[in-house]
Amino acid sequence: MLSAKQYKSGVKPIWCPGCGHFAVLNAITKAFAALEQAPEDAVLVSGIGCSSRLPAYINSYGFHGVHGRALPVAAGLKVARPDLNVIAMGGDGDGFSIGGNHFLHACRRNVDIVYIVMDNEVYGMTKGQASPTTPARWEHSKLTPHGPEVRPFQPCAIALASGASFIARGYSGDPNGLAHMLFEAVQHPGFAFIQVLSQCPTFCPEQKQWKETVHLEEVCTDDPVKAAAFLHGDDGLSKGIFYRQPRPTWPVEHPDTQPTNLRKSFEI
Amino acid sequence: MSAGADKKDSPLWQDRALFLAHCVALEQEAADRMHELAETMAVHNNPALHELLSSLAAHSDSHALDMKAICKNETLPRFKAWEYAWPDDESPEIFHYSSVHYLMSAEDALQSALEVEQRAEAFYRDIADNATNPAIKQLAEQFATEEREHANSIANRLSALKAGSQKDSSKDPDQTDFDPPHTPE
Repeated sequence: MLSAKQYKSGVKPIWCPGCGHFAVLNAITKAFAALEQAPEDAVLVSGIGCSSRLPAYINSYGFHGVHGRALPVAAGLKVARPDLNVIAMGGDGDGFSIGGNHFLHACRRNVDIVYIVMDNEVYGMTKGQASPTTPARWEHSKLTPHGPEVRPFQPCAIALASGASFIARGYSGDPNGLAHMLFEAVQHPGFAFIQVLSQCPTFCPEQKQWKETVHLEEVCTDDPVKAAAFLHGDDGLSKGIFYRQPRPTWPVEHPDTQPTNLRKSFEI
Repeated sequence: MSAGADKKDSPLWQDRALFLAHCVALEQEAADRMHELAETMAVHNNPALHELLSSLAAHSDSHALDMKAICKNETLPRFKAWEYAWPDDESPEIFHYSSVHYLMSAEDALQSALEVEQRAEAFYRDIADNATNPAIKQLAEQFATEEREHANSIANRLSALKAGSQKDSSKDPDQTDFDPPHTPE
């Protein structure tokens, strides 16, 4: 049985001091310790961005992949190797902008993987531009001096509408609560989506306030109508598991389309 | 159990093994977080803060070892990270991520260190005041006193630092950021 610390690799994170992604790293190692996860049976797949560096910091298999493409890589891996615990991850730009369409279809397909989005509402790696989840009035970038002036993307509501079967939101200021969410998400049979409010102290120092404003909501339901009603009234700062309804995962098993049978159908 | 468990029913006041399991976790998590923070300062080329935080982390390591020595003949329960009955989301003697910044000064770091020691003291003091088990009460009193001593020691370092910086402002930590973020505030 490994301790949480033993799931960390020897690679030192290069995130800024105070970055919320440290908390996500700690939450993953704590969840793995609780799950007694064999390091060789887990794979962390990421895209590009500050948060996507995370697989290098964990003592397991990792794939630091192509921008926005963590989900198709992770889904393909899980379909090929259903025995592995596959966790995809990335940031709000990677997941909701360039990877946005993959997000919709991953929710819809319900492949049995976990997807963690470390959402700091900013493009941190490229020095602080507006992302899909940036508040409309965020005026900290010279590229958008009046703020992006568009409504932020609503990840949890969109995940629900797209068919995700497990939807949660965590907070980097609560790594233990996030570890618990991950523990549940890994054991959920199907696509489990966790949005993490992960503060960027460098480009969004105002996110320090999350410590006071993020609040726990114990509203978990298996009723999509109730979940939708909650998410549409949500202030974006609630944390908790909001929706959990197991449904058949993809790919669906068809005995008549096993490789041996397929081979027969092509015989002349 | 969960963070913020009902104080009236806190099992920490009655169960010695449970209480000690929390003490070990508190000291270990304090050391781990301090090392993590020290390492980030090394990565971000801030050797002065790296050295300061590493020295604080070394103290935390020593406290964690002391606590483990106290518990060496005890059979302590094992908990998942979220099962500890901390008064807040995390253990009390831990730097909250929101209190950390890449431009933080030695003064900021010592101020935060002082606050976490004070939170740890308050945690033990609350148990000492409310424990129904005399053995727990005595241990909690002892640990609260030790945390008070740690806090006093850090407060002295902070005072010395402030006095030194007033005497010679040229010795202020270099706050020049050669790679400032685009945050025209």
